[in-house]
Amino acid sequence: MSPYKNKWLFYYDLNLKEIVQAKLGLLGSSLELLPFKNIKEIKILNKKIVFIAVSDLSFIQDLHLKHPIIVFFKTFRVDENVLVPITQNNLLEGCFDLDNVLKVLDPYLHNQSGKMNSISSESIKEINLFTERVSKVESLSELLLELKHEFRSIKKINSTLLAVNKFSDGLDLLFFQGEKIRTASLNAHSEEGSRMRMNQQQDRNLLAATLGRPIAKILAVPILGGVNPVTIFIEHDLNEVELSSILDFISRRLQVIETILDVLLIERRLNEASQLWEKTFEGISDPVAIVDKEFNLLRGNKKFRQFPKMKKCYEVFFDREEACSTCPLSNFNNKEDVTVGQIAGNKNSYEVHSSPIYLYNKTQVAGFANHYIDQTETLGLKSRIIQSEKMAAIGHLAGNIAHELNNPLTGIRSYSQLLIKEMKSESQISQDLLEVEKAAARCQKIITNLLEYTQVQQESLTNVSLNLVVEKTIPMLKSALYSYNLKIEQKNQTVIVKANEQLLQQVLFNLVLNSTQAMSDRGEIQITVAKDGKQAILKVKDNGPGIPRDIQDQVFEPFFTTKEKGKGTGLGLSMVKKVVESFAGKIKLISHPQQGTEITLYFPLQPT
Amino acid sequence: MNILIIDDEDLVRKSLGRAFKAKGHVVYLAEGGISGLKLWRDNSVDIVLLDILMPDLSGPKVLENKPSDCFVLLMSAFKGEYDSISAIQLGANGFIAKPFEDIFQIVEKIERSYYEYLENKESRN
Repeated sequence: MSPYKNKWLFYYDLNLKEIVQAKLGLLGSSLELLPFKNIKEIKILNKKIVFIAVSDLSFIQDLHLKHPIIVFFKTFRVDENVLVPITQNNLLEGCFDLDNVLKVLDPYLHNQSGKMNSISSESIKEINLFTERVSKVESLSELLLELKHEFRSIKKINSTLLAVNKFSDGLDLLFFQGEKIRTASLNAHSEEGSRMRMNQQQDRNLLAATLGRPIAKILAVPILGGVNPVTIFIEHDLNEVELSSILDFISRRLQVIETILDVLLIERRLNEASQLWEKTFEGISDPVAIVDKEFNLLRGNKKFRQFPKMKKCYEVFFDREEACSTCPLSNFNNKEDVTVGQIAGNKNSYEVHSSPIYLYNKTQVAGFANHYIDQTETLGLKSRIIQSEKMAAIGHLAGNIAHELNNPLTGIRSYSQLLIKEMKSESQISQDLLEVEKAAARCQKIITNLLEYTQVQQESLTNVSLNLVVEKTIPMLKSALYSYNLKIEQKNQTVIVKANEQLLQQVLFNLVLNSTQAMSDRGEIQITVAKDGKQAILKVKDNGPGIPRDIQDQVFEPFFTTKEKGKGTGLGLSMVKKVVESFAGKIKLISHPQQGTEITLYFPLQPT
Repeated sequence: MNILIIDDEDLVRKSLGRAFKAKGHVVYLAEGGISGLKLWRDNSVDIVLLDILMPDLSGPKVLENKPSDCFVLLMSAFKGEYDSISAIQLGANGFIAKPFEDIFQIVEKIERSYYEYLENKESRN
């Protein structure tokens, strides 16, 4: 019998040869029987558990085997005190009377769970109970609770902890704080290895760091979970003798713990993965939806929309009754590539990327993940840029054409005028020529308008809040205004116009400055921002001396000024008028001597 | 008065010319800057109406080479680019914007400006 074929090795000391052979005769085929003379002869080759029969404990006192061993004595009874030297071996499965060898060996040799069925039926009952309870746990915390419960009868066990390796680097350590279970996340790694560890410094450090108090002795029981390694730490105050029976106790329960841990850890890992993907899915700032081949919506992220089950994607997202004609699903060609399509709907335009999902079968697509990228703004911007470039080009062109047309039109008008002069005014020709002149005049007006229009287009006009303009301008006038009483009336309305903000500020600045220059030392200036129907109104009123009637028309002309030489250029009001009109606005002057001057600006009102 | 009109635009040149002739002035017409300068040199001229943008020689360039001192008005259809101030800087006496609303009004305005110019010249001497 080659040692490599059999699973089990049975060593015995030569004094027990006959007894062992007699006892094990029937089972000889499953065991290889090897005598040993001294410890050096015990060789373990790929065996799970080693059986040793000794007549004298001293044979195995200094054994340091790395494998679990079951020791049989000739006639000694199992005595706790006797176990002392043997427990140097960490993985003692048990010590038994040789008389019971068959009973003990049987489960091993028939491929049952390697854990020992305790001799007493009491223990079996206990283990069954434990198994039942543990198989119902649904979380690591619950498992820890069950362990604590199970160890309650063992007085000198202080505390039980669970260390679970995380999916990312690090450890989660579950421990009791009073009655509650807390979890600490540590950057540490758990020790590799399949052996139980007794009181090792690394374990002690780990636990001391977590619990923050002095630690008694530590027993570390590694359990190789299916996915991640888990370690059960037991903090205890047992002596070596007591400890070995604990090891026994634990060993019998390890199988079921391992099984349930497998399940729990897989669930935990699935949860972690699922959480990561959930968060990603919801966190994507574009709408994403998962549909099946028939366009039924399976899932949508927040940006997509909430929907009742089994609605079609085109119904929910685009409000259509049938599939969008440019949908990438329709163009799917059964490969792994992402198909892209442009879909317009609901006032928006989307670039839709469809990724096929193969769940069960590499050839049958189960569904698609659709990523909708909103192109509306981009397309809008693109078309606005194109439009604006076109307008600029047209403006330029129009400007050129206008100038070209001006000359001949002037000629037509001038000649008509000349001819009219030479004709008798009542004659038909004269009347006809008047018509020609009028038509030419109209043409010129159109051209002038066109030229003005193209010039305005070139300035960048934005939505400007009149309220904001007032707020920004007043501080600049502080020094000029200090002795005047300034009132601002805004009526809590936001008034928006299409203009250039800087120019509007200059306009207001000019108007207020004019008022202060008209009044001597004291006076009141009122600025009003209001809206009236479709008009935005900005008014500057003072109670100065007013403007005489006969020059009211001229105040808006350039270079007109009543100020002394050197004070003011007289450009203020003409500039104001020009700017206001370039924003499609109107300027109105109301002034009475001794009653002050009111300049009102009207602009087309923009929606808020 | 003797009026020299230099403008490459036929209609403007001819209609202005006719209007001045109708008021009894002597009118010289030139199609471009070079021919204009020649007419200016060869004749006694009181008023010059000078277009700015001309293919052969621009108005300002003509001014740089003027054979005699007289009342010069620059004309242009390009609003905003030239005005009285810049016309004076270029060496002219004033600026007229094209298109003209009423050709007779323009003629009158030019005559008035010319008389003003003569008065100023006399009071200075």
